[in-house]
Amino acid sequence: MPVDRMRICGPEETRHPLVLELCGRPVRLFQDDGTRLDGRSADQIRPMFMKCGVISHAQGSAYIEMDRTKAICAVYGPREFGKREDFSIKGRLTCEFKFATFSCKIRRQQQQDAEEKEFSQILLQSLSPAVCLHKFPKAQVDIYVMVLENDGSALSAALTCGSLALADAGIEMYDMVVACSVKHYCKSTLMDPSASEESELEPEGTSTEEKPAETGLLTVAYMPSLNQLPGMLQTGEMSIATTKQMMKACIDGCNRIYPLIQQTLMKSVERKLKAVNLYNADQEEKVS
Amino acid sequence: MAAQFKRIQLDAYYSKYLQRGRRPDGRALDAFRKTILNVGSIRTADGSALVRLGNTTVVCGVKAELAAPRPDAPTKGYVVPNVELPAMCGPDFRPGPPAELAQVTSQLMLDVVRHSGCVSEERLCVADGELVWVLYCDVVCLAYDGNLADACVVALLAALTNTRLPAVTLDDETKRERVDADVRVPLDVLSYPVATSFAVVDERVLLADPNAEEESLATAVVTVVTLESGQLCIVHKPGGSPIALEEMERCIELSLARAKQIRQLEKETRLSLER
Repeated sequence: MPVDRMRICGPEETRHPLVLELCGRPVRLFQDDGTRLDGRSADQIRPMFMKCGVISHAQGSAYIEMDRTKAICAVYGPREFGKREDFSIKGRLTCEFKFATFSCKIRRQQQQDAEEKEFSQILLQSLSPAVCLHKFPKAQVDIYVMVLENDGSALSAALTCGSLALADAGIEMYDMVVACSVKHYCKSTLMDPSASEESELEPEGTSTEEKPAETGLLTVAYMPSLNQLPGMLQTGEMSIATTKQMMKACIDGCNRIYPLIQQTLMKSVERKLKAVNLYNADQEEKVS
Repeated sequence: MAAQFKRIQLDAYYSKYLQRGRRPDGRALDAFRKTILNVGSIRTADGSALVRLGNTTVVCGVKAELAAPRPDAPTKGYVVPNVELPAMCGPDFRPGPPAELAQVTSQLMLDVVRHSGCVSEERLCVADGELVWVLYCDVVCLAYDGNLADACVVALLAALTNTRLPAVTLDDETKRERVDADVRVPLDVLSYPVATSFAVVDERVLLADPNAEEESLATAVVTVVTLESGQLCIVHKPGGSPIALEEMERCIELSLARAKQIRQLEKETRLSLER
């Protein structure tokens, strides 16, 4: 690893104490009573918490918790273009996704690695269709997402958080973007997988030579009012029929999350109105 | 009307308040903003803390890894603090290499760790000359509203106090480590330094715990780090306008009082977690 002169560096080679255990040991899918490791049924989503307006200096911001997965997003803009390029009739959107170094089981690097760059691209491509880019020509809107703790479905959390922050910033949008993930392994479809479920799982009763035919992870970004999919990421091997079934499960999950998003945005608007009313009340007092 | 005046002439706007001994956000000149501390919420980290100092929000996560020690210090582990100011924390920060403020604050954190003796590097040794712990203490600023140093030091110390390391022994024959993930040993934090920062505005007026606006007006910034024993650990005044000796003594007095508050807050937070 090249020496990073701008940061305080530790020794060149370090390893996580449990690295052998974490990478080698497969995880059981279901407990004895048929529920998942955390007690959920196969189609149950984890409890969620969302809040807007958490970063005071940002135009818009949002924080989301999906049980233990935590993500925070800030939106700045519309503001001047980073590079002075030619005139553009449409506004520009930039997106940066980052895992905090302490967010995953194995420590991540401080610079963006390939996976984070890929997720940044996916975020950008999934959120752009929802934003009215023609409403801010020559300007740029920056979206910064950071995952503080990754317990599975980090990309879905980031997508939902990103669109909440955009709405909180008052950027005009065609629709909200809601995201959901699904894991398919050995004929079971698990909604909203946790980190241990996203990793390799070993089903009971099969020998190690017999690898199950279909296994994979699907993340879907969905616009509920327009009923369109701006983004989809699928990894693994799955038949078309299974993929369609997983897509339907994701869309169903997104529809279940959507009312919570609406509530969160309403609360944020109420809070902003209260703040404005207080200011107006102050002004009126001064005038009279 | 007031908003436009503030925009155009921030220093004159502030002078009008400071003359009456108050700041625009309602605080007295030596008052600190509301401090909220939350520990242990990030389970993927070996220790974590979240601090809100007014609107400044920082998260510190401690990740422990194993490595070979330096040949010239075979019995010492490493503590590697780093402060990150990602683009999300404020409109003036952009993505890319760490800003100057981040680098300066990282160095301050390293000085605090080294000179306060809060974590003994010898206690981080698993096997002499073979295996030591490396504690990566990464502080991420989520929202910047001034006084980064104070918030970072509180977060760092709270996260270190919250850190639990797995029990590790080195097998002499196979030279491989044996890790018992179920046994977690709390890290020994031997002292608890607390940082307090002040900004000098108008070349005379001392403001405790400056926010981002006050920092932009400041002609000098002073940071004082004190220990429980009442001793001074670090006094950091990197140039700027000179201040009188009496003012400096006043800073130190206020720091000691503030440090007691912070230690009390950390203790209460830790006890409420254990309950």
